[in-house]
Amino acid sequence: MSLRLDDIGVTVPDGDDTLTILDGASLEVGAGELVTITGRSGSGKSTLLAVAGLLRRPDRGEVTLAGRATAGLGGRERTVVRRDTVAFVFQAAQLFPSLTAVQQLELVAHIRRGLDRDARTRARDLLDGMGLGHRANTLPGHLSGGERQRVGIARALMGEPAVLLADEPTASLDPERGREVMELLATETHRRGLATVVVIHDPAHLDLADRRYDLRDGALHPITPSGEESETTAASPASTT
Amino acid sequence: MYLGLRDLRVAKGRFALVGAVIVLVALLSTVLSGLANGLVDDGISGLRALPLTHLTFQEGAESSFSRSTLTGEQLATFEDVPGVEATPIGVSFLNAASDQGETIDIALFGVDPDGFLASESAATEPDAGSLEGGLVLAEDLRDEVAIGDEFTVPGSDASLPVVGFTFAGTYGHVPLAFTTLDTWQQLQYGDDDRGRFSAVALRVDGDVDLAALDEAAGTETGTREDAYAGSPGYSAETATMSLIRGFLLVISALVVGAFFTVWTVQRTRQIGLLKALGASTAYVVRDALGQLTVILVASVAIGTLAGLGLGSMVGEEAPFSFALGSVLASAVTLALVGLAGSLVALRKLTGVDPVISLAAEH
Repeated sequence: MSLRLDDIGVTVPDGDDTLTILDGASLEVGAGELVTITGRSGSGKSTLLAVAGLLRRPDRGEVTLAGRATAGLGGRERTVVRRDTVAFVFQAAQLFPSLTAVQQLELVAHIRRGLDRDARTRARDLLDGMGLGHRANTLPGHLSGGERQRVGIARALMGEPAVLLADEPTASLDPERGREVMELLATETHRRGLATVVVIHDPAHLDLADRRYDLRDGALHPITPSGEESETTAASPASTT
Repeated sequence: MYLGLRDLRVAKGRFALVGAVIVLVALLSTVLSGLANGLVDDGISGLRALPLTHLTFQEGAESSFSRSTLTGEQLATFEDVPGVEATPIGVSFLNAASDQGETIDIALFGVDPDGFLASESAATEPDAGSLEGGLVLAEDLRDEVAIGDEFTVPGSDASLPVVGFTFAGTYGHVPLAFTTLDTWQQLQYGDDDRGRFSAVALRVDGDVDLAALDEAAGTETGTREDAYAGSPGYSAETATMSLIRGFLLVISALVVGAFFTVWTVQRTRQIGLLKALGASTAYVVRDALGQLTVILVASVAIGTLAGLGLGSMVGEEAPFSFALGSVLASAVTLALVGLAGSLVALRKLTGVDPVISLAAEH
């Protein structure tokens, strides 16, 4: 299993009280699977992604990435596991304003101390594969929203992750561009055998998901293919196949 | 420094202001260094050129010739000590007018014609006359004065012909001049000199217990460098210069620190994103400090070169002299202090939480 969340709990201080954000959220995503997570604003979707991507320690529960349990890891080791296993696709792409499209990808290799000729070639190839070859030397300010998000996806793929975590990748795009981006994520997930989790607001693209969950009351509830929610809160791929 | 360098290239304007401030600070610092060096030179270059190692002053004179009066008895303590050559000198500042209508300010050193100072520093020109009753002037005065010009000193009837020139050198900002100790005493004390002079010049070779000699003679002996402090204005000038340069360094540290703090806060999102992409804290710090180092080194280099250029145009108008070592040292110090100033922002940098890259839900 590429990504496994077991009984994740997260609380944050809220004045004198504590606010429960995640309470027993569990999820398994295998290679080549695209899973969507929907939920109301404030239901904890981004927190769940942050926990899955080791950006945030849960108060309880275990995150297993590419077969490696992470609960006992120190800060540095978590950074290394994150770097080697996880990539993010962000809302509004979050590109560096001073880097051209191809440099956004090269930076990922530089962080991994592997910016050599092969990496440069791979960066070009990734952009070509997204139909952005002609935009390789363009700064983000001159790219359209859809182009920016495609560069963001190419950047995520540059690190050859096992797990891809996308945080509302269509939120800043019109429906047509949003659809293209979701199709691209699905295609790359299946072709590269990624375990992809997409947090999404817009129900229009849910048909592209292999499995769908709703985040409610701090836990994940599977949505059956018919569109009705099942009663179980424990989510496993076995329940949908 | 992949990101830092490209930031610099794409967003030049953002760094222009802080760069310009550092350039100006470096320029000012370089000019001050030249001025300080020139002033110090002007104060003590004559003393530095004298062939002596130590100077003995009256106890409590604090290396000031004008506060020190010694006599032959004290000189005798230093004579005949193995490893020590001693010769008396009288020093006073005079204004002398020549028969050609030229007026000069000089620091007049009266030296024993048989001592080592006279033989090595105050050689007369052939046929120009003797040092006794004559003047040997510093090279600095050669343009204004010729051999054979007669000088009179206010308050004295004596007429002193110029009998030679020696090395260029000043003391207390006026050129050196030599005459014999007898002539100096005549000018200083009239007919009642009682064998008095200002100080004893020593040439010490080997391990000599100077403290014991001072104890016996009631004097205080210091190295030539110690005596610089007694040169008129020397302490005040160096203290002023040091104060200004110290302030410049503090200003530079504050400016760089403030800029770097604001800059770090502005790019918090970018830093969080870098970390989310897998960059370690060390990577982020290297990137940011590398970027700052490029700005600092470039700005300091430009400012220093501009300062050197400006200094060389000032020319003769001001006492200006560059010592390459001290200019380089002040440039390096400036860059290091700037870097040190940036350290206050490092905690902001390392404290950025990569989780901010994800959309906030609350």
